[in-house]
Amino acid sequence: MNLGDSAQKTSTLKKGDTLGKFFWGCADFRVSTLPVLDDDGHIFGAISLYELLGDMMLPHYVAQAAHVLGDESAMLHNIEPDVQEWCDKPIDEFISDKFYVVTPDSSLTKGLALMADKDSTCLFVVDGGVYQGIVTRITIVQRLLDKL
Amino acid sequence: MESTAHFDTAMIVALVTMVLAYIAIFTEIIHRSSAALVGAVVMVGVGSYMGFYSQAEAVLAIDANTMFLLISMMMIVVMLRPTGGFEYLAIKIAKASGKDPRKLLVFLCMAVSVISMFLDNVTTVLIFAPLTVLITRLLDVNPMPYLMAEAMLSNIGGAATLVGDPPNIMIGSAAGIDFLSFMVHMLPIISAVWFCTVGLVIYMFRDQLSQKITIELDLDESKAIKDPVALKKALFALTITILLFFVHHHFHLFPAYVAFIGAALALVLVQPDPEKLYGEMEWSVLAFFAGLFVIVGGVEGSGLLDLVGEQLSGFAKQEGQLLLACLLLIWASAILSAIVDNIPFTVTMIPIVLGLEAQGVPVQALWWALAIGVGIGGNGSHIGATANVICVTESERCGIPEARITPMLWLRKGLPIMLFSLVISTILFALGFDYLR
Repeated sequence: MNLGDSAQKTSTLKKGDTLGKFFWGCADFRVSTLPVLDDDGHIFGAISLYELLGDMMLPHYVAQAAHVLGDESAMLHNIEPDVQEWCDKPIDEFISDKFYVVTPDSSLTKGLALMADKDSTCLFVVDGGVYQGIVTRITIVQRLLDKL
Repeated sequence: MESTAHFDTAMIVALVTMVLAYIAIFTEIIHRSSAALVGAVVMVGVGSYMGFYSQAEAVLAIDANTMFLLISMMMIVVMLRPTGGFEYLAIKIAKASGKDPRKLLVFLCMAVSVISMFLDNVTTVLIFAPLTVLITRLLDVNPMPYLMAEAMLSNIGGAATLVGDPPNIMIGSAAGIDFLSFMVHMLPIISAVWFCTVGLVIYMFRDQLSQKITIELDLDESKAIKDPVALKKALFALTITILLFFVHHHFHLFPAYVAFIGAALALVLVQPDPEKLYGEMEWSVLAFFAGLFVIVGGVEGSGLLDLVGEQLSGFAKQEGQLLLACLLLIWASAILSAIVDNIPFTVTMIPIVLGLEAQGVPVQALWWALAIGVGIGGNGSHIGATANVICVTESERCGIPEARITPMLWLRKGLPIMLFSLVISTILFALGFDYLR
């Protein structure tokens, strides 16, 4: 089995799309990262919920003190974001160039090694420059289970 | 006494090399430690070529007492930091302030100042600043006055002891001043400055600090301590170190050796992961200091600093002029420290003061004046001390517009506080001059 078999199709994004489209894409395909393609269909960036949710509602000073936070801090509710306002924002300023690409023929071991080494939650599978899908640890486990 | 040295080519070359290195350091064209090391390499190169400075002299110019003291205190801090002890203390004192914003400010500042007296104030502020934002946000008050006060009072706290601030370590090492003597001479003035600064901060931020706190602080300090065993061991080693600092002169122990005893004890007791321990040490700071020592050693080797000392000694030796020289030094070093990094200034001033001593000037009071000036001067601007930069950055990162500490805000609030501190220091210095000299 290779990473091509483990890849999951997802929607893609392009510059000018809104964060709303990104959120719905993540929710529909149960992934936390989506690729951003240029006009030729090549991946040039990615958007991750991990970083975005941090920007939206997790100030660094709260994250650093997570272990001492009580459950009843009223102020923590106040920093929950205005979702509609965020959904209307264009994705452009949140596009990251931190993404990793593999081919459909790459092995599972190589994929896991890349994710571990780069501390990444996913890889984009690209064939001849064209986006084929996303590989996450969950999609790998899913394909392994499919073999049972 | 007539001047025996003359301004020559070697002095000009050494001076130009130092000035260029300092420009690179202050403008941050490249990282300050890189600038200092490049400056050091150039100084040794031109010094060797022109015959005023050698590689052997450059190595000797690096003050081992300062370097080793810094290294060992850094080690103790690196072992103490991940235990969660600082977080525990911050939450405890925030709860003890009893919903009084002024009390909260005083308590936080007191903790930051006392810790900064014995440990690196940059580390103290790095830990306290984000916690302060969290605590104040949970209590629904503006973190800005707290952050500014913590930066300023950590600088002031650090000025009180031999190990509280790198310039003090250098001054103490060069002048052979022991820990207790340093504290006995500096603490009365610094204490007065501390109380005045706190009072002035409360007055200047009276609008923000008059807001009543109605919310209970929902933080669990019992979960702050991540490694209680390591915390106890590291604190034990730190306590032994501090106790030894108070008596090191009786046993003819160098402060650096005392700090090494503490670090060695902590290493044995805590047994940290070496990679983590040495990986978290601030080697760039040490490289910066080593570079500066070599640069100034070159200027000293050229004879320029002796010449400056000779020129100044005529003034300082005159009856009644020494006090004036000290007061000028306090103000000049404070103003310069507000504008540029106080460490290069201190490293440059030390051989000049030593030169004055060689000319027969009683320099003891000048050491205190230098320590006071560079210690307090950092409060004059938002870039005057590293602690200030950390608090300003924290105020920007927290994303609360009204909490943002702008350079103008610092000039409006911080500069008057620094000037007031200097006036207080000047008065106390003049009153206690007979004791200080």
